[in-house]
Amino acid sequence: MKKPNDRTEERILLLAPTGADSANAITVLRNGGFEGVVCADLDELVALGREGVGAMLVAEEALRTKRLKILGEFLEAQPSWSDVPLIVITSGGDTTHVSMRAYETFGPAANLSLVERPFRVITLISTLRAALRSRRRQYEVRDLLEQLEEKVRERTARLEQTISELEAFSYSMSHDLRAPLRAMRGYSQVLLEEYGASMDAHGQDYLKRILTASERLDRLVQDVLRYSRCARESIECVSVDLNAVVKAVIAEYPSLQPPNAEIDVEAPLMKVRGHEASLSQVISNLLANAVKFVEPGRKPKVKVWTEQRGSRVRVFIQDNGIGIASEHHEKIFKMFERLSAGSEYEGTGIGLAIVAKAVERMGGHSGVESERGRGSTFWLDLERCDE
Amino acid sequence: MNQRGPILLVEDNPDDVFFMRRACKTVGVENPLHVAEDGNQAIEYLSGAGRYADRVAHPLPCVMLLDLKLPGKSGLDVLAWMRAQAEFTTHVVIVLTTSREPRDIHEAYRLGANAYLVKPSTPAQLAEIVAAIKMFWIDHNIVE
Repeated sequence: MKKPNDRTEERILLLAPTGADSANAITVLRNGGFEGVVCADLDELVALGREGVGAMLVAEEALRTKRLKILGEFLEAQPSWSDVPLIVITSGGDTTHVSMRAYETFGPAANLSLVERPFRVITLISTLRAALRSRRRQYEVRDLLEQLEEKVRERTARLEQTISELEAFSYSMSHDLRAPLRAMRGYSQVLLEEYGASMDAHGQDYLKRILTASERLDRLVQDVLRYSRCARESIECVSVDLNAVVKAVIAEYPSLQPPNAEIDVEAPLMKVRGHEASLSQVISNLLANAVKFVEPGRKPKVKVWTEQRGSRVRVFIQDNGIGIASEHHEKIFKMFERLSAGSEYEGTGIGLAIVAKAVERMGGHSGVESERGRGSTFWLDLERCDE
Repeated sequence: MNQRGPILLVEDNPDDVFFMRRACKTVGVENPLHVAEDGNQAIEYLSGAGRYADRVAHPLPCVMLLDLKLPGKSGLDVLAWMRAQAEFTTHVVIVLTTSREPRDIHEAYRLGANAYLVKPSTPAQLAEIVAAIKMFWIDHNIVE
């Protein structure tokens, strides 16, 4: 940050090999109110330049050296915000060999001005003022960048802190919240098993309601945990065989098998790049929804297929369910959004939020095409993988 | 082939202890169930220290069921301690916890757990698990 009395960044570094020249220049600078520092050679010019410089004022003769390239290197190595003004005082008359060389060497890469001798004092002063003005702006940009970086560092640290707090929260949620819940469920069940016979129908009904409610809360807690796991777990995407994933999911849930449901997989499904455990969660949530949201009495029929779209693969899961009105298509992928009220279709409202988050983490998109009463087709868009 | 030693349940939650006792009874596990309420007690029990000095009353367990989140020393601390003792490098340790955290699962196996089970939600599911433990780890598994 800028220190008020530090004029390092305002100083003009002067390199003029002949004594008279530099004495003249120093006088001009002093009268003009500039801070001038005389350098012995190019090495010193560059060394001081590294510490801070408003502008460099160099007599042409000083460039007649093999060390010229260190100035070039210095100018090239500047950070992106920096463009040190370099003013070369040339001999009068025809452009000399040396100033041509300076122009060719630095011209394209440097903030170079040529001032021709004999110069009028006002010419040099106005050139220097312009140079310092632009240099001041550069230092301002540097300070802003530093502030910005500092801010980014602070915010990142704060975010990391929040994330680790959330992790601790979900950890204690899995342990501390579920423990009493498991006890409630367990004791209700034991009570029903061991003392159910000695209770009247009302008593049994109340107990069953406690059980149902605690089961629902347990599912809710587990789904929230699943969501937070899939949102923060580090995943590595590799080639995944969707055929195996779909097959395994269907094998795991009786509700996805005949006679409860008919799931037609158009094999072979194309290979995608993804994270197997996440994909398995996604497919399982989508298939569970596909067979759940169906008119009572109707047998769920689901079709699964893939289509190639350039470098992507689109996975479709189509059902013969109750469908979703188009105004709800976006909403259903959000946390806790449920369209069916109460007990008509049981659910926590987190399943599709998990789908959306997991697919997003695998670098894909998800969506739905559907109309009320005409079934739904959910899709995932993932990177194709031919390996 | 039956292992005769007791089952040592390391569990701080009295409800879970109750359900485990009930499940053992339901399934017909003959081995007695001993309980250590935290990590330090488990280590004391295993080393036969203090109140556990009498090895006849407190014989070494044939199977240890280990909760991870315990007051004081955690289940993973107990496991690490055990595997560092020549005496307990091969004792059967089954983690039984609510945690599904990949971190915990990984760490438990790395430290030498024989199995990792997540506590089920209902007494019926717990009975299933206990029946499986009885059949595999107590009736069939052979230890050194």
